[in-house]
Amino acid sequence: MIGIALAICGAALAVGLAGTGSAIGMGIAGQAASGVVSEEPEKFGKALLMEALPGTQGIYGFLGGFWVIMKLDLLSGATPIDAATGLQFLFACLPIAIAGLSSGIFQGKVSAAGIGIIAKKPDESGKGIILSAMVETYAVLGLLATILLINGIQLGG
Amino acid sequence: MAVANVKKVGIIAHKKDKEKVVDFLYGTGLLEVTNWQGKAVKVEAVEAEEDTSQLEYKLSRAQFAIGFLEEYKGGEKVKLVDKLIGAKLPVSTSKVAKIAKEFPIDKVVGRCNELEEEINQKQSEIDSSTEEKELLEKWVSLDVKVDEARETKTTKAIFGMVGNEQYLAFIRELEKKVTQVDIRKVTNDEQKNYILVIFNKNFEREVSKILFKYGLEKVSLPSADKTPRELLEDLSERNKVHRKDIKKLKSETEKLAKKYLADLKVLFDHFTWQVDKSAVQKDFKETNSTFIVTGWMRKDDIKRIEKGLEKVTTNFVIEEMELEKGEEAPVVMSNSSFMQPFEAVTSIYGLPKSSEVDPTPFLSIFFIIFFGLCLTDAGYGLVLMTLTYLIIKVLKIPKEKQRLLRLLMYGGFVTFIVGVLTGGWFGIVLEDLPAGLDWLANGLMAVRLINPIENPIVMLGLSFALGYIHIIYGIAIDMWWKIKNGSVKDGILDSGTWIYFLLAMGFYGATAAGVLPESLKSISLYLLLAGVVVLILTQGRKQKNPIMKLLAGIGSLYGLVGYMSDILSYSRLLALGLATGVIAMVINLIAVMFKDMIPVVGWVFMVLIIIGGHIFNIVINVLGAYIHSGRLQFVEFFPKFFQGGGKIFRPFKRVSKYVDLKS
Repeated sequence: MIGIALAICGAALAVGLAGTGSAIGMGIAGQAASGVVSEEPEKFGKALLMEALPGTQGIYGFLGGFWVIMKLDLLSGATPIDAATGLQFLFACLPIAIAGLSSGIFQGKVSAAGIGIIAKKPDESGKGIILSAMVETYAVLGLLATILLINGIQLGG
Repeated sequence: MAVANVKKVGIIAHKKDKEKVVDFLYGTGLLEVTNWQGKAVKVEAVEAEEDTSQLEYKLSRAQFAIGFLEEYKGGEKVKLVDKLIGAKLPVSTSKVAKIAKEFPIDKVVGRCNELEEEINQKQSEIDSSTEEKELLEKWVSLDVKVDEARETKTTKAIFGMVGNEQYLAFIRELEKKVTQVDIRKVTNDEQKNYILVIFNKNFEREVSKILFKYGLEKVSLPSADKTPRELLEDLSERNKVHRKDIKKLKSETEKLAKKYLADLKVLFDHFTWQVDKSAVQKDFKETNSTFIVTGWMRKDDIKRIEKGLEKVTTNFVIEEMELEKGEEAPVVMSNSSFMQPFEAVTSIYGLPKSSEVDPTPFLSIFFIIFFGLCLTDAGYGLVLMTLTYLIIKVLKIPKEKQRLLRLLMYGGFVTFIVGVLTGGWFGIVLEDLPAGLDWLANGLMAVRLINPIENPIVMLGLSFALGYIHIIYGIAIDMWWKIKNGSVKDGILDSGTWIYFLLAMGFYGATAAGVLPESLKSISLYLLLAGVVVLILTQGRKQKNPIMKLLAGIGSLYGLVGYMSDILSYSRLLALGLATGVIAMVINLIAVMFKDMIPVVGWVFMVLIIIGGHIFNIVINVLGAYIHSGRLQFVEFFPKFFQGGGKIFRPFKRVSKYVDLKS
């Protein structure tokens, strides 16, 4: 059963760490957004959009975790695996866990700065969105690596 | 298609027609007025019209009155649609002129000023009376008139509060030390006793010592020949009158709003226009009897303006002017109406320079395909397409505001097709459909070419392949543009060699991966090596020293790393597509779990989760698809052929906040 436990640990890290990244990132961006909205409430929509950007890491992390759940049928009586396979799952989850944590935080910072663009030059806010999305690339790659790695793990060996 | 041809023009006309010409240019809104620094003729700058500041003053007064009356405009409901698209009041030119002439602006604004002041004053009096009221309420049971309880020849009276704990000791000491004293307790609350102390002046020193010792807080009641109760009644009487007055004032304001607000808004726009028209004349130049306007205009519009001006005046000249050194014309994109929505994507990045190609038509097809790949759910595509179509049709969104919606509609359509090919239908696993729906599942599975969840590697390969094509396409545009503009050599030697090299690379890769027959492998390898040689020979040609030529040529091979990392970036298409599909699956799974866990009510939860969850998923992923598909254009595609940074064309044009002017 240690194998399953390790796999679950991987899924938990993916969801938890990437979610933390998003939470911190959205927290940073949200504070900046409130600042702008308190002066100009009509900019709420744009500010909200910018705040939502660092939220995707949490979703990617959840996705990585869910990929483990699906692969091992954890929802309906898990497929038994040995400890070595369990470790494989744990490591396969790390890309999105780590990349999600760090990119979430930094994307939040770029978003917060982008909210400054919304305040000063609302017409140019599209550029702020793109700048913020640049950071997200590494969460996307992390998710991709996690999915491909989990996909490649041989079960029942 | 592409960047419109914008020319620099000068218009010279007779001074007496100035107003009419300015009016005409303002109405047509096709000329961007610039401050011409030319020295060809001796000209004097026009002195700024004196009345600009006067007009601005009027404008700000109208703005104040609108802001004030807006609060009281009452029940008139604005339709949500009108609010969303910011619908304006249709007014004819003659009506505007009539309002501008007849509207009693001084009277209305003056009255607004008075009303606001009076309402504010009365309101603040009511607000400040609360404190007084609280104070008096404590003393209500005192049946002495406040003024009577003051100093007389021999006695003195003090209103005050003493803490409950000290109270008894206080009284005892006071009565012991001072013989001629009268202490009257008026009331008490949890902390304090409220008392009136009257004493003989001879004992003043002792009294004040004791008062100080027990920490008595003196209270000063408003001086009046009335008891506190009467004062309190007066106060509430006054407030009642005030409230009534405010109500009256407000109803007058409402009447004022009803009568004048609409016209005020027209007037506001009228003033704005006047300010615009007067401000623009700062950029005019004048001689004794003529004035000169210079600016930018689309080439196609020059004839139209000329024809229009002929109706206004006969004494004028309009002429194209030479660009000065280093001067760049502002940019207008002009694309077919089908391509117009994609201008929204280009303008996020920035406008092309006037000497550049407009990337809009080139990015359109890839943008929309990438958008679809990031969503890959036929169901979502259908929802997106129908929703945006309905919004445009039902809410009658005006054409110039449709860009984004139309773009999403196209995106929905492509998503639908991609979704059909990848078997994404609201995240439903086709294999798991109940037996009764076999026909449906089989049909949908038959058109499904790839299942990205089972087979992500194929999708990854497809993403890379699209990236490969996209990048070669970008370089090809660069080559075409260079050749078209005369730099044939650069076009072929820079872009052409790279295209050849990347193609050879792809050919070799395909044979090595076994997609193309093994027998072609050696040919492809030679082609690739030839490409390397060509690159080494051509890329260093701008260096003078032959050794540097060689080194620069070899160094240019490093560019390959850049292209490779560009292509890797397209893997996001797979990741985002999977994300949409899997989240949709999870939503369905959770919904079914709720149904199984809770009897009866579970069904309700299931429906709520399915609807809410999928809406959430659509919103999040449409946003993601838009951003990431755009990023692939901006970061991977554009640098191959496009710099951007063109100036926006800002014509001198009537802009109105409230009015939709009908001529």
